[in-house]
Amino acid sequence: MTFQTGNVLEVENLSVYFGRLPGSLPVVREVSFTAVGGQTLAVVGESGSGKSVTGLALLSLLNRGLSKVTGSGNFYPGSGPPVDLLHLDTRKMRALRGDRVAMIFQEPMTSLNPSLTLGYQVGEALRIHRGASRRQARAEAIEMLERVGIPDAPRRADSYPHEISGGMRQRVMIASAMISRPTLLIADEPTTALDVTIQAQILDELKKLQEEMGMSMIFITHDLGVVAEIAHAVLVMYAGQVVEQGPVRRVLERPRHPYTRALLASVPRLDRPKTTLAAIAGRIPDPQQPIAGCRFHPRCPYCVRGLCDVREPELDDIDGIQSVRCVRWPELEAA
Amino acid sequence: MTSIVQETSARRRPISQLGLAARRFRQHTLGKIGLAIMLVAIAGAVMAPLVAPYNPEAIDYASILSPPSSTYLLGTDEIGRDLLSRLLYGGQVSLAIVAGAISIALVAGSVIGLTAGVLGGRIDDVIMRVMDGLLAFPMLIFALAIVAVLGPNLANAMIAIGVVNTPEFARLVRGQTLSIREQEFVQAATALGASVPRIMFKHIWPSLAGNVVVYAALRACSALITESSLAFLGLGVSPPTPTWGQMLSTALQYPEAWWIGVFPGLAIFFTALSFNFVGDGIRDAMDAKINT
Repeated sequence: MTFQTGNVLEVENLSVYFGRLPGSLPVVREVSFTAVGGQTLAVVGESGSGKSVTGLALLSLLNRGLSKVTGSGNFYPGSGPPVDLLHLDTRKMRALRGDRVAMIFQEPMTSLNPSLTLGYQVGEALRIHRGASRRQARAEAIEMLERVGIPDAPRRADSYPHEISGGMRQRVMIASAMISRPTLLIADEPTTALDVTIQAQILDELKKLQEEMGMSMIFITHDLGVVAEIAHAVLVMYAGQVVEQGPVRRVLERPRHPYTRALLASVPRLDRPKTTLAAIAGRIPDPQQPIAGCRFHPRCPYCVRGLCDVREPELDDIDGIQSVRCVRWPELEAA
Repeated sequence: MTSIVQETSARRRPISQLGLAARRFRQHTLGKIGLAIMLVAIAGAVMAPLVAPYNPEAIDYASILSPPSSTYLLGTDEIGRDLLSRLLYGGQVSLAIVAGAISIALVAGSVIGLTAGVLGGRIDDVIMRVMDGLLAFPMLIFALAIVAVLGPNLANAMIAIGVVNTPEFARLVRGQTLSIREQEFVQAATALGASVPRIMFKHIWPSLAGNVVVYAALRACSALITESSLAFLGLGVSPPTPTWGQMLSTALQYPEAWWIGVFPGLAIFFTALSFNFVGDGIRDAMDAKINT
């Protein structure tokens, strides 16, 4: 088992273009972040902010013919030299997937193959990467199913996905991703499709496994409640860009970017008497529509004409741990 | 972990989807009738040496073209061979050719269709244009051409009928593959590091196997007719080995002896019909939406 404490993944200037046309604008633009061993990085944003695409790009799961990925993503697999995930040939990428880097998807109802048994699907990574026999894979799969809290695991191993509930399926998905003890787990909204009680259980399960195995986790979500629950650091994305990043407490307690503030204001809270929830007016821009200046300015309540719609803001480092992409953040802070 | 117990579904033995389908098939009347006819045809062919009253090639000059009687239940043909015995033995050849041909078409068509569907792009274009090209030939003419080149015998008849049926299977499998390929579980398998062949055969194939089997049953019907047509045209298995189609073609020369034609015709008709019924039965049994 590799118990890593240092950086597991260093992504720099990751951009994703859809469509091979020369004029196409990026869906994800120059995203940089670091994932640390034993910690969780939450990637937050609305639908269409490019957060899932970022996750898929890291594992080369985007259709190669329809997309172009640039930048670098140095991955430290525990032993051996780092590899650049964004420039890896198919064979090497296949060897990493499901072994050193695993992924969990949003929809537990459709992410499991309806015609294969749960035991087979959980043990599959071992058969692919470790050359495990059918029997070995099954034995370890049963053990893993028990660890993610599936009761009566030996019998469940022979069940099919249609026989179990959504929460159980997501546990099975987690088991199949974790069985090879990956260094990095990319979880793409793993709890979004589940109801709240099951959601909490799944988050606990993930946290427990992370502590036991010391893996790094990239947790993609739009749910700030979940972020507070599980993350160590947060990356807020808007229209394909990082607009704010920092440690979870800092970002949630002192959000600097107007978008992060708006997101937080739109979360229902019990400790604040309020009758209506704040919604963010408008919607996320079409990536192919060029926007002058700050990409959030059409929806921003603090937008200043002649400033925000002219100059594109940089990602400013505030104090070495938090950064924000807004030209007005010092003023807003003072106000 | 106590709360998880609530999530567990009712305690029962896990039932495979195949088990569920078998259960539903048992309630499909037409499917059962088809299966019964099919089993009779297969049993007759397999047990021909045991149940046939005469040697199918034994000639009785004393009773040429004799109508059905107690000696010869279905009558005799133009050189005095027992029609019932020839029908039973003929079933062996006809059914063997159908089974072989459909197996060839199923395996080749599935591999081709999966490859085209999963790889997509240029490879898909090339493969499917070739398949379309093959489909453009009238099936019987195409089979005739293959047999004419390879020579008429049992193996070649099998190959010819197999080849002409392959494009249809390839097209079916490719179409289904295209839609299954987009399912999340295929992406999940890719994320687990599964190779392309593994995704094709382990993850996509089981989802479409049922449809392919149904299609095979339906195609078996047309394969039987193609086989009979080939034999009828004298390009099947060479005499004296009997096949149903061959017997039918002989009958053409003796319109006064109705039994020579009617019985092989009925055998072809009922067997083909049984394949159709069984295919329908399997399709309906698998159609109920159990996979979510």
